[in-house]
Amino acid sequence: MKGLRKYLSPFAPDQSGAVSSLYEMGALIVINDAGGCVGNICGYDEPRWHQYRKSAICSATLRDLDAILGRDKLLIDKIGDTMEMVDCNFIALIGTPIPAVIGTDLRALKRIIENKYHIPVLAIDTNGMELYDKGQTKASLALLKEFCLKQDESQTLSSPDITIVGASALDLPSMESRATLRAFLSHEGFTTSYLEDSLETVQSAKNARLTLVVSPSGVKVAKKLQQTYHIPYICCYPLTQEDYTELSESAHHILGKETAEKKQTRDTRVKRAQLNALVTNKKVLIVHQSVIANTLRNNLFSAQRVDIATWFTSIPKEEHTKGENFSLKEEDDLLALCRKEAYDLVIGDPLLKRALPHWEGTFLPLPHFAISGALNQIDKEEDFLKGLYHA
Amino acid sequence: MKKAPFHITIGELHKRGKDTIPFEVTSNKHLVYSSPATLSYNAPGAQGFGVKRAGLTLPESIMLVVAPGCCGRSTTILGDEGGYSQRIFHLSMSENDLITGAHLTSIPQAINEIIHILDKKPKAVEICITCVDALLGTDLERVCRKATKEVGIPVIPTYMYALLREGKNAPMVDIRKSIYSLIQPTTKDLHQVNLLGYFTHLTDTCELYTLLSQIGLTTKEIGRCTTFAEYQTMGCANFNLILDKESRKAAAMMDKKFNIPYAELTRLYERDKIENQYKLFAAALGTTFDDTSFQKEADDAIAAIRKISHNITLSIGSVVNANPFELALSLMEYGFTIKTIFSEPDKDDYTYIDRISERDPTVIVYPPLSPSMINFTKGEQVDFTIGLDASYYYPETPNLAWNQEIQPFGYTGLRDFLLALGKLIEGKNA
Repeated sequence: MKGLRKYLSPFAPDQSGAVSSLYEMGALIVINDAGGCVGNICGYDEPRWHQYRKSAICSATLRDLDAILGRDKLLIDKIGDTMEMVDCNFIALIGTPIPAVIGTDLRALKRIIENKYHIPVLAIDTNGMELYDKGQTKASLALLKEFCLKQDESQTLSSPDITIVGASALDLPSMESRATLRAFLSHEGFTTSYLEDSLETVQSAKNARLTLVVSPSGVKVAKKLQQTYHIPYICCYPLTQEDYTELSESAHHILGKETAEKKQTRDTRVKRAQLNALVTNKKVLIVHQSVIANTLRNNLFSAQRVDIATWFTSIPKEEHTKGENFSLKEEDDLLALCRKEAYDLVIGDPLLKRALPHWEGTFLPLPHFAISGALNQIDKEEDFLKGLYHA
Repeated sequence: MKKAPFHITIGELHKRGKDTIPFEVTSNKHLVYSSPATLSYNAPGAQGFGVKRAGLTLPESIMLVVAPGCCGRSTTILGDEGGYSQRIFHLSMSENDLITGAHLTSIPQAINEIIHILDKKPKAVEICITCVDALLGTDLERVCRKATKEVGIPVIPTYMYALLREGKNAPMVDIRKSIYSLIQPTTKDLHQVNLLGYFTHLTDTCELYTLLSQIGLTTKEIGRCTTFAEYQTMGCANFNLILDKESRKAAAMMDKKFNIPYAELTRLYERDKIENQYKLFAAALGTTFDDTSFQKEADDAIAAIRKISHNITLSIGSVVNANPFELALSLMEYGFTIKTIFSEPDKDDYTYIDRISERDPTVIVYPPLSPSMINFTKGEQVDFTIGLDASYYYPETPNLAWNQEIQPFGYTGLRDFLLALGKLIEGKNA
């Protein structure tokens, strides 16, 4: 039935995605809600909030009369009061269902606040009804537009080899993922920056020579950088030893860099062959964010067939190498697809198993924070694939 | 330059008076900073009992949240942690539904599909709607009446309207009304009293059970009801006893609808006030209680804590089974020094604020919801903290969370609290 969730709770919404992209930027992030949306964003969709880093995420604390009477001035004044208390680089206004219902003009608010307080404002028109990746894309594009595309060309900026986009806590395997990927690329001789690390990394994205897209929310950002600054991009989140090697080779090839001589270190990452033990001759469905799903599919060479399915944005067709790619809309769609295509094996977040009642195939776990949040969160990067070869 | 967290002394609060509380300590007058310490404020992400979990205290019921996806995001995670994931479901609204209201017409079909997958048919269904429907003016009562007819079991409305948080029908007030709306008023049992206020129940050793039994009364609490049939017998009660002010509306509803009158008791930690309250309550009932043994236990605990409380400094948070200002005042009376309180005071708290100010006007109040609290790095040095949130501000300091789900009350609540605090202090000194 349309919209009905009998087994799963809704996935991370667009407003959580937008906040995840802005979390590290030193912004005053104002969720235009009554308080509940902030509770969900901070309490369930933002692992950094509990673990190690403060971000100025505030609720507008809208009340019924504020919404009914359209008291935008009150919100503007509250933001002004808060700027007296909190240091911030810019203001981010995040939409929720309330402004969506009452038709708040976030762009007008942006202009008014910018004129009144002389500070940049990003207006992100999320509505709590879309999924997180849409919100991430909106926020990242807004960052790019405000702080990269608009910026003075003469500004002296760093020039990283690679800008990594779409690397949010909602998409990547663990809290270690960003550091692990950066350490690897550094070891391979590349300088890197994550787009959403700071205002400086956004500004310097135009000087990078390659964009690495690690989740679908980064695709539009990468395309914008390609169109505007002719920066090529690749979509990949390396999972196996072979993926890392291939990523390094591709990056060296695109950047025209010689491979630096490296110290031999013991590689503890999983090997491609290890992942194939359980999938040989099987019909496999991977349900995850589609960059990780596609990278994993490329590793499963011994399977009879590997398809991917996602409720979130699919990566562009040209990035798909083989197999089918399905878009899911409702909760029931997953079970219907598994029955129709008669998969032997489904790989996805452990929570998804609940949405497959009476299905008799094998289910292997691949946690996805945007689906089950902290319930299946892993601490270490190396634990991400364990369920696929330790089953 | 690094900005500082806003704070104000109790003396200053006292001087300003309850009609001029600064806006920085009044949550609906400023943006609310959502630190980990304040998660309990932010329903539906609320820890403990938010609207969803509170609604599911109705035995053998299920809940269908009908709302945008963002409102139900925490459902599975909370449900798994709280053990009710098999009883809560979600019907997502789309942007089109905002215009057409089609989500409301799908409710009976959704309930039937849910019942179809359950091992046991529920005895009641709660429909939970959120801010969006508050703004759309949805008549959920009517929707529920229609659904009741179509699915053949009671369907009742519940409201998670964060927009109305400070209003007369705040979400946690309204959910209390909802969960008592299905009790069955049958023949009055003159010996039964319902305890309203908590979603669990009082500690088994609480003197209130004994005192009421001295005058021939037995108690019912929703948190002790295991079946829908048992819950419905709450309708037989002679009167309701409110233990949390957020239940006043529920009690008034039960008075009007089921002819069950009510009285109210407050959770207190001041020993003499506890005694007075019981005296007044007993007098209102035209009787007396023999509470001497419970008084003695509390007095023994007070005497023991007085021996070690001198020169001990405390910080008190607001995520605690107490009013933080009343608790602070009590602890001052038992010999402790209160350095800081993390709470946003309201007018009702002035009874305590004025008295704390007489004892020590230098006590500092931090408003935990103020955005300036992002700048909080280190508070005034204290020996111990009380309240779950206080441990966020003083991570290195020994903490007594005192926010257990089974509720402390009265003399035994005071006794147990002081014993736990004494144990914490002795543990540090050992």
